[in-house]
Amino acid sequence: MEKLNINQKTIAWLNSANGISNRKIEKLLEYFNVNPKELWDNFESEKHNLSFLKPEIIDYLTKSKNTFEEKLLIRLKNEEANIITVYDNCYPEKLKQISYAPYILYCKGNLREIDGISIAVVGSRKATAYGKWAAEKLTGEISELGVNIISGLAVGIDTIAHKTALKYKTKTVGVIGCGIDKVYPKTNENLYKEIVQSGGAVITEYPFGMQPLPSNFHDRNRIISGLSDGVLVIEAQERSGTLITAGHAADQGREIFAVPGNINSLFSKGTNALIKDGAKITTSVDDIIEEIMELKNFRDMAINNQSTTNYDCLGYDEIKIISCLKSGIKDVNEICEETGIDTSAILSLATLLEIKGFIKQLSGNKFVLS
Amino acid sequence: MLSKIKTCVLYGLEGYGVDVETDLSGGLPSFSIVGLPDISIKESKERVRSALKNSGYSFPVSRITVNLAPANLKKEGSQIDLPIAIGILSANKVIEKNVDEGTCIIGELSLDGKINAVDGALPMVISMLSNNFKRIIIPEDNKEECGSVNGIDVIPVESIRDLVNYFNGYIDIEPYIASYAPSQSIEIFQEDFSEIKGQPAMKRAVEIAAAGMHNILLLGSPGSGKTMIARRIPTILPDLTFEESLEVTKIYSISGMLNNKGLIRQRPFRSPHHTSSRVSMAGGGSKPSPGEVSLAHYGVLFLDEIPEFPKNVIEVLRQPMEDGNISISRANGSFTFPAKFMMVASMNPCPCGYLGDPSHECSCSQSQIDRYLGKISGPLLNRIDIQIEVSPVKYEDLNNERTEESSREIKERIVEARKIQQERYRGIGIITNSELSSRYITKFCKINRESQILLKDAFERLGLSARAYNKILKVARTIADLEKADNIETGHIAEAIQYRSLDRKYWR
Repeated sequence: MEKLNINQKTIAWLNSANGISNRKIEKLLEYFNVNPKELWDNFESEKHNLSFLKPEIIDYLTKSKNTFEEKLLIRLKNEEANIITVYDNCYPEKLKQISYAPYILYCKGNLREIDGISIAVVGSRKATAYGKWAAEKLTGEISELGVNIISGLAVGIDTIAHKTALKYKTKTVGVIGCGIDKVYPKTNENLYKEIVQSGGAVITEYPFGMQPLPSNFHDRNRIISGLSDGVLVIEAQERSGTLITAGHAADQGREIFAVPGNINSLFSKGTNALIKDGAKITTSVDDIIEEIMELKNFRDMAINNQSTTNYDCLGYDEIKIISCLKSGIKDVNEICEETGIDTSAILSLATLLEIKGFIKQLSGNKFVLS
Repeated sequence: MLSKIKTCVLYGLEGYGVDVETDLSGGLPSFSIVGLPDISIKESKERVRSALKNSGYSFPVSRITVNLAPANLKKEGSQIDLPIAIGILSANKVIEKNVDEGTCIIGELSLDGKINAVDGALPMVISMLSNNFKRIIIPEDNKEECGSVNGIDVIPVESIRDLVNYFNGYIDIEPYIASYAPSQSIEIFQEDFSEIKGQPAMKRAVEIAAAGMHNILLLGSPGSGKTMIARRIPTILPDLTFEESLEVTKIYSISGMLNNKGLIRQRPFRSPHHTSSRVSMAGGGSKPSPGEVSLAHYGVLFLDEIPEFPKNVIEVLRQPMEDGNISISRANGSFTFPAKFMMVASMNPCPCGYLGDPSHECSCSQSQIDRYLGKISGPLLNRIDIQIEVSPVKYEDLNNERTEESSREIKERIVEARKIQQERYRGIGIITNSELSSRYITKFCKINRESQILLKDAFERLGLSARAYNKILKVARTIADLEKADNIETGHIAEAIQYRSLDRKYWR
């Protein structure tokens, strides 16, 4: 970015003050007749009347007014990031519609090119083997349709969603809860880079230097649901951040898709509760296609692509293992008990089946059909 | 009025012959010991004086000088009490004939003239045998451990009086020979594999580990039976041979852990707590004594909750795991103790143990989990051939009446597999598959084209790391040996790949 226009300048200036929320910015703009230029010009003369702002914030804004732009441009250049404000044309249309839409987005990569249908994939950070498998399977199916995948770049389901999207070469957007210059969690540093390089984007509404405070993630979730047409909830505990995202999605009128789980699993309590409250029960991509009209065109394509799995080349024991896995995720001990095959034979066949692509191994020595 | 008695002092596991020279001369009565004695030997003056008096012998009223030769060697240990006492009696002509050169005497004195057991009697007897001694006098309580050594007369004595009478020919004491009956080892264990219900995958992994002496890491939530199975591994390992048994007994003997028992027949099982220090693990102290790695010699070293062990404690395991022994250097010199063990480690998937468990909530933060897993990375993982994830036991399994395989049946298969290995590695100085170096792996673990393709696919598609390659071949060799197959077949490789849980991508 070479230079900021007056709208961008004003919003970025306000946003850079630590402790000023999106709502405060809204209030401030209302005071100046929703005109950023008026705010910029008349701030000094009116600053004593702005009782809803803390004195520190007013002080900070007064002091930084002339210097912040230069600093911001340098930082944006260093980080190869840019800013998009709600007044810009390239601001995502869907996001504009939500209440408390973020006034500013700091963005790495190209948000402009993220158009068409987007689905948010969210879930627990500490997912079970089932959750991880479901995330990979469903995200994979959605990605094959060319749908954009939105998620939160956290560990667990988020990471799997992004990685699967990258694998299927679909665009993916990560919405983070800290400054664009920070990487949180650190383990996802490479994922950040890959997302940006693959034509996706990493975005945040928080200014440079913002730490990943727990409260930020609550607000970040509204952007995740806001950017998407539907939110797919893989696994969620009761009272979790994932359910907050689902709540935002409901407020914003987005479709909510929930993956059902065992009723004794802590990590499916949230999703099962969502289903009870009317979320679409989702077991395959078809359930998502049914609800989102625009995806209907893709359906035929998807059906054509679906080929029935060919088990002809397999031996008797291999087929036995596969039919045993048809009833769900099983660990070696369970397969052993149900099929009556030797443990050693099962382990060796499992490797072969996995390499041939029929089954997949999950953490905890568990297997599932792929 | 000079006498010369032979005795023995220990340096590590090696015993050295020492001459106790006693001279009685005129002058002011005194009693001095020279020749670098340590505190316990200096104190023996008092024990010798009282023991002689209470046994009914008079303590000579003269100037007594005891020299321990060679004079430049530091000597320690209470086993020198008895030779000093005999030296005085011999110089005083209470013992009529000189004690012959081929007799070595060890023993600690009690004030009433009884002879107490000493630590390290077995290694002393074995060293004296190799120094061409014909006869060794030992305390009665040490006879079980020493009696199994052939080629030297082991004479157990109870008191000074008995010994004096023996030397004077009034009584005869038969050399003690302990019988080394083949052990009925399974019976001597209180635990058995049949007590573990279900868990076939974990049992299979442990069987392979035991057959090839592979180090193994068990990973799983609390209550999946990791500790239970680890405790039972000695019951399926082959019996100790006589030579192995002697070696293990020597280590326990110098550590004073024999408790008057004979040779150790069970493979040791050591389970040091994670608060153990480096010295207790490796061995050491100003007078170096064997640590846990040596006490687990020829047996199992079980590290429960391995990430809880401090890094520096884990680090000391590296040399013994590589070399089969541990060298400890102290001011007094450098000592080498044998330490060839099978390491069995267990860990939880996260600090609270419930990560990935659907019925419990994991209360750990991501950074806690990362830190926990990070503790076992790198060099240590490199030395663990088999890593397996285990799942919690199900209630139905616990309640199951089905009979499980007993240790005896499993052991038979393992003994067979070990025989095949011994046969194959005859003459190259290794016993089990786990010891194969990369040079020998190319020689003994040849695989066919099909298996090579499988391995290549596995690396590409399953995300194995490169360091897994040799481990998979070694473990596949053991699986083939368990099946008595000459060549490693594709199925063996495929199974071995399953034992690399931690290498798999999904883990993080």
